[in-house]
Amino acid sequence: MSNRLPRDLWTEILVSLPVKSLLRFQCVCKSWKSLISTPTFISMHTQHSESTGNYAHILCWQLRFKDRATPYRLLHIDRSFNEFQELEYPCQMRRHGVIHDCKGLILFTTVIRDGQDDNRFDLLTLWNPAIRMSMTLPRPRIDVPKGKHCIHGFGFDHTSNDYKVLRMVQDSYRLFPVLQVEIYRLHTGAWETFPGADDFLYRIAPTWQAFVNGASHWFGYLKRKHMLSDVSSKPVVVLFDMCDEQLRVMKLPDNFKGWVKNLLGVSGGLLSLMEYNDRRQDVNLSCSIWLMKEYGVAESWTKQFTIDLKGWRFGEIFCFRNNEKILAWNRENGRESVLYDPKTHRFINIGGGLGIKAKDYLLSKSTLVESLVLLDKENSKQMCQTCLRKCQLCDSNKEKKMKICTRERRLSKAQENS
Amino acid sequence: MANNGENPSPDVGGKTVKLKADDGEIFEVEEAVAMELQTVKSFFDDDGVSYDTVVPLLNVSSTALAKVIQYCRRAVELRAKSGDDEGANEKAREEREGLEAELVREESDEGIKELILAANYLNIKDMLSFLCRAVGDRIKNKSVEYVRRFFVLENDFSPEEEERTRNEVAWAFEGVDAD
Repeated sequence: MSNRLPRDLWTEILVSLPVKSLLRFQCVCKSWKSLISTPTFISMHTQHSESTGNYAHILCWQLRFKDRATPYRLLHIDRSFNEFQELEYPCQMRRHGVIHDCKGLILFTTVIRDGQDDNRFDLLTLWNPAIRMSMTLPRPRIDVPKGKHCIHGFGFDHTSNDYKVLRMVQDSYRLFPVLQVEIYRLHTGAWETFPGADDFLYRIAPTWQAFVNGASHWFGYLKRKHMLSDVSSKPVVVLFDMCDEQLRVMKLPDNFKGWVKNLLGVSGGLLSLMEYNDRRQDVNLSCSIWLMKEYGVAESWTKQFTIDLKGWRFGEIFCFRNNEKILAWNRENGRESVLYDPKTHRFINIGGGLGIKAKDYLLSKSTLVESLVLLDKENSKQMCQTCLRKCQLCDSNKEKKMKICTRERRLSKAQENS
Repeated sequence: MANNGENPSPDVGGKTVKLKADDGEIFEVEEAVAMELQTVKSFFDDDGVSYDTVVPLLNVSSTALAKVIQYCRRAVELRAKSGDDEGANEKAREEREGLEAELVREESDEGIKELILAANYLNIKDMLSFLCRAVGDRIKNKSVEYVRRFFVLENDFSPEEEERTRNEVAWAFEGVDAD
């Protein structure tokens, strides 16, 4: 007679399993399928995944101009930077612009031209690489006509356990640009516009967000009502709090000069700032890293260390990593990527080992957690390997580009042809 | 004082508690060790229960109880060793992990289930926690059929339903251990 473990222990056992096992175990029986795809279990599993860090990986994106058909390649590099594994991505996301990631989900944005006029909107797709499922978001409410641009934010609200996508559409050229804001919440599956954002006093710099402390951060500048206004052009930090959904402003360090090519990032769970110092002949000679030791307290900005870029002719250093190493771009060696370890002050050349060739533009992000998010969404789809290759060839037909390929479609096509 | 081959007499010098397994076998354990079992602790927390009372553990076999007691004894010792010193803590943690691994290493599937049920009934949080993780490790690369046998679950899907779910995540079935 075999012992039978009670139902209340199933969760405790399953919560520590990798997503691949859980996807397979949906087939065990109906109660397990139901359990594994409940939002509560998915949330618990993600939390567990994050805290144990067993399956957390550092993810890098690559942009290759040479190979037009596959403009982006995702690499998954483990903590030691010794291994990498290529990940497939949903075929409908080939022509995308900006990428963000947060807690196991990746957000792709693709700009779509809307008919004959100069109107545009973005097609947004959420992708969970661990379970190979993606979901396209409904069309946003705020379009992006000519003369405007859209800044995206993507984050996680721990108070409601929800992923949120932010769109801020801003005038590109006006002195006092109007701001329109809308937010998408994964739980509701809908966009909601925010009234009253148009009198927000700051122009937001169209750069990548830094997501920390439940909020997305960008550089911002006070808007000027007219050319001769004596309003200072000192930059600030503009943030959108994903929990209470408010736009706020924080000060930068007093001596901080400007935002051009400087970066906001996250380092060791703190908001950080990379500031370039000396610059000779278009080459940065050194840069400093600041950390906001106490979130929200301007006086707590501390210059942590300065990196001497001597002799290396560095290009931009463009991201921080959770484990304190900084990925950079070495112009000297044909734009190979290097890692800088602030503890040892040493540079480690990793370009060769990852198969990253010249002209590859490396975009690095933080640790990606394995999660089951999107499993319970009705309109999320599995990616199909065969269609991935097929779609790369069917470039001409715009409609095909936007269709989501499913396994059923491939199977039914196979049946048609047979 | 009950004394049997599986339960050598503990050192005299502290209070002891008597625990009775499902087959009537009695185990005498040090109080500190017995209190690791929350069920036992609650038993004595009730007013008026004397420490001489034998605690009936009707749902636990003597084999399981013996192993539980052995584990808890070592766990209590290790906890006493760790303190403010980070080095000592690290060492104690490693030893505890070694102890946990040893406990499950030789166990069959039935044996490990019996231990989990005992730890669950006796309400020993840490032990239950690592046993669940051990089961997770054991089953993570196994087939669906293996898992059904382990958890004694009936396949209540229709063939079409099962086929559909399998097809949706076909890649998750690659690299699975043979049964």
